[in-house]
Amino acid sequence: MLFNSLDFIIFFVVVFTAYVWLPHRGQNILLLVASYFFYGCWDWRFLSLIALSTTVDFVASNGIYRSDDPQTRKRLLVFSIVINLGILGFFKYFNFFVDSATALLAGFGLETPRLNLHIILPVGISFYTFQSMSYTLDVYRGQLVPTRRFTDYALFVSLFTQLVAGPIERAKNLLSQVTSPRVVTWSGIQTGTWLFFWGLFKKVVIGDNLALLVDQVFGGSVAWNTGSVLLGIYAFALQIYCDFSAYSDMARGLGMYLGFNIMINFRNPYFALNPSELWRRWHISLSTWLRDYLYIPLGGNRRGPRRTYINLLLTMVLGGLWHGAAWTFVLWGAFHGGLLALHRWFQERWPPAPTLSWAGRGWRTLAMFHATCFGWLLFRANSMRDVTGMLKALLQPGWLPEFPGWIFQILLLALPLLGIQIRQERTQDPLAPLRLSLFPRIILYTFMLFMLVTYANTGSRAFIYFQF
Amino acid sequence: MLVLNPIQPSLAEAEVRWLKRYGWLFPVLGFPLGLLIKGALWSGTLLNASFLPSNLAGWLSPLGLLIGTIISLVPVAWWLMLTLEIKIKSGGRGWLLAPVMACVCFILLEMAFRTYPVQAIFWQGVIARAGDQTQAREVGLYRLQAAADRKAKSPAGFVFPGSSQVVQGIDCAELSQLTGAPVYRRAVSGLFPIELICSQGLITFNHDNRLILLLSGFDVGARADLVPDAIRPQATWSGLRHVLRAAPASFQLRHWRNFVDLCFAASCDLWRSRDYVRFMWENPVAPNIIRNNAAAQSALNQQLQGYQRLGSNPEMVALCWQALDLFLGDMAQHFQNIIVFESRINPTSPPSASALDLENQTRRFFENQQHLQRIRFIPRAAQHLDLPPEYWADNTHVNAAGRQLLTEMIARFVDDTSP
Repeated sequence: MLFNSLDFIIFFVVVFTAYVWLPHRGQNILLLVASYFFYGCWDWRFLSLIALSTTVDFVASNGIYRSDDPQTRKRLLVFSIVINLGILGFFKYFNFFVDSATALLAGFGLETPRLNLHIILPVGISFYTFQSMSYTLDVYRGQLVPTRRFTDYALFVSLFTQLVAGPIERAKNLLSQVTSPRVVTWSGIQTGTWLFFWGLFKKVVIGDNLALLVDQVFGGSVAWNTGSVLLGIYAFALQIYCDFSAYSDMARGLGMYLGFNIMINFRNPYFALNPSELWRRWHISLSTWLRDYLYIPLGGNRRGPRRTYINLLLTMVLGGLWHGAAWTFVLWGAFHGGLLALHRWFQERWPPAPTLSWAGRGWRTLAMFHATCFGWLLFRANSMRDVTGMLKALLQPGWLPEFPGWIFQILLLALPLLGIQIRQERTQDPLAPLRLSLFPRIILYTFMLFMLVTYANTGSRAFIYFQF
Repeated sequence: MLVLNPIQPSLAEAEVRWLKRYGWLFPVLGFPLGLLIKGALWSGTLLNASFLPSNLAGWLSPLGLLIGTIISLVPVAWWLMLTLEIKIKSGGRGWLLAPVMACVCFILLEMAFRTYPVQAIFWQGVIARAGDQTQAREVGLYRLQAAADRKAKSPAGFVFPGSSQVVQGIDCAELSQLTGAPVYRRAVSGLFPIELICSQGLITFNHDNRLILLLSGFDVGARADLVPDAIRPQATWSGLRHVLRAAPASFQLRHWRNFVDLCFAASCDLWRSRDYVRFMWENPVAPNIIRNNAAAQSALNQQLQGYQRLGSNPEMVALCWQALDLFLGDMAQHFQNIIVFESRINPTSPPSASALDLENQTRRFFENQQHLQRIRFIPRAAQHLDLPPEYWADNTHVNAAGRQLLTEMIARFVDDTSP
């Protein structure tokens, strides 16, 4: 059940109507049942996985909290991590590691039997596993008191608004909202409506329409040359941003209807001036998770520059692997790790100016955008062979009759987005469009409505990040 | 929870100041822009891209001036909205005003889209961009003619809706000449019975018209399922209601998403035409003239495979008959009379036993309709027309010689019932 489907709208209207009439405990039970139903709509068999993950972390965290024995606490933590990563590793990475090991052994001339299993990847497994793990880790570190109600914890893990593609919420933010009464307000409905429709617009008008172009380029159905590869990469950069940030916006919007304040996951990432800023603007919930539970425990920047660079690289490689079981994702992670390390190296030698001129900001933004786009080539390419093929094609000038139409389409879809984002960036306010005066708002809403009716891709294409 | 202020007074004042300072730019730039839109861009967007007005009078057009006036009035509208918003700011739910007014603007857009000038511009634009995309051209022509016939009080004649068998098999100009009455063709490839029924609103425009249909078991069994993409561009409420009434509840439940889509299309012309609005965006100026022989071959193969699967979904066949029954009953009220010719296919394709059975059942259905005095049915045997393989272009479509024979045959039968 996709957010951009009629099925979901009916589902949400039914849930919301019941929700506003129920007391707090009833609301939580309703949301838990609705969330399991929502997840079960993909494949009811995977409900057992989310239930297992929830139960293990609930029991382990309560055990950790109650125990004074450091050994017991550690054992419970390891038990929780092994179960969570075991489920994730088996369903997501088993075939990848087997294939890689087979290829490696074959390189040494050793033939091994095929061990590939037909495993279906449970949707959103990476998101809820990380969310659930962060809870146990926070309890272990003494930063959180575990909840005593299983249903509250189960709702924290499975809340349908952000279950399948994040943001990866922290218990400090979301669980406290689950356990305390929530208020449905007109203001929340207004903001929620804007966020939902803005997300819907980004997804079905921009993202899904650009997907048609992107699929042609990366699928190899058009000849690769400088023009086609560049247009394909620019289109993908827009598509993935619109697709993923759309889900986060819609999740936040739906949360606001229900009285939840779900964290912001994107802050105009393509306006970033450097790699470090990019990761403070892109998929914030994952980058802060990796920072808090991987980079800092590895030593962060406390053990000298060389170790810092290694930590950055390692964190980003694992971040890349989190996205998917393929070497292209590993390479993408390594690329960003390398960029972060390089940026830090430069910063240490040439500290940045406290203020930047308009032109200085402009060229840095453009340079960072193009570096990000290069990363997207690695991310989206279907195989390592395609990566090399497309990189070679970047140096082969060429023209296709489709180009004028593609350029027109990319501009048509990118310009409204850019207009809104410039406004958000200048005011540092994600809800800047809501604060416009009446006339520009009417123009904006009419334009969005018109495009949703006439140009939305109604093919119900799943969100890209569902596969992660 | 964040509480939003609809507008801050300082922001409103800043906007008023801005409008006072720069508002004059709207008329100064708006009129040249309007004239450009009506002049160069207009020429570029339609068929005559090479033509540009060479004198001043050619550039000064009423539509260009109208566009310029609309752009000039933007600061006035903006200022009015600002004062309006400041007044309702204390109203509590002032934030609802913008979405409501956006919906009103959208309704106005929809109403403007339905007017004949906009329909003519739009569908001409589609036809201009169609290149060798025959479906786009056929739908463009269909909708353009439908808009024109509704606008002008067209004289009574024959309305001839149908699928590609009508597009390729009937020479409407010749038929008009032979019968001495106008022939209004409403044919698009893939306009099988369900699609045809849904298009009812676009084929009824004069009570003195006569309806000609070319149908047989081939058409009734052609669709294995509901194809909303084929129905949408012609969907109207007057026709869709027959399909909704004819469809059993279980069918409606299974296809509820498609029916919601079609209900939108029947209610909102922008949704009905959405595939072609997209087509216009994707082909901003240059017509797409990429010849795709592989696609043509694939279409031919699909046609042959489709013939083998004729009537494979009994539920769809039953729905077709039920909906046709309601449609013909209703059409009998809207037309002087209805003549149904039993269509045919290339005799080199031997029909399967199930296809023959479907043909016979459909024939009986139309005979029954004739018995109810709703239609005049001309079965193949009564047509006295021999169309051997050399008159066929492919499995289902006649060639030029076949078109001549088929048109003359139809003229013979309808001539004695000329309006």
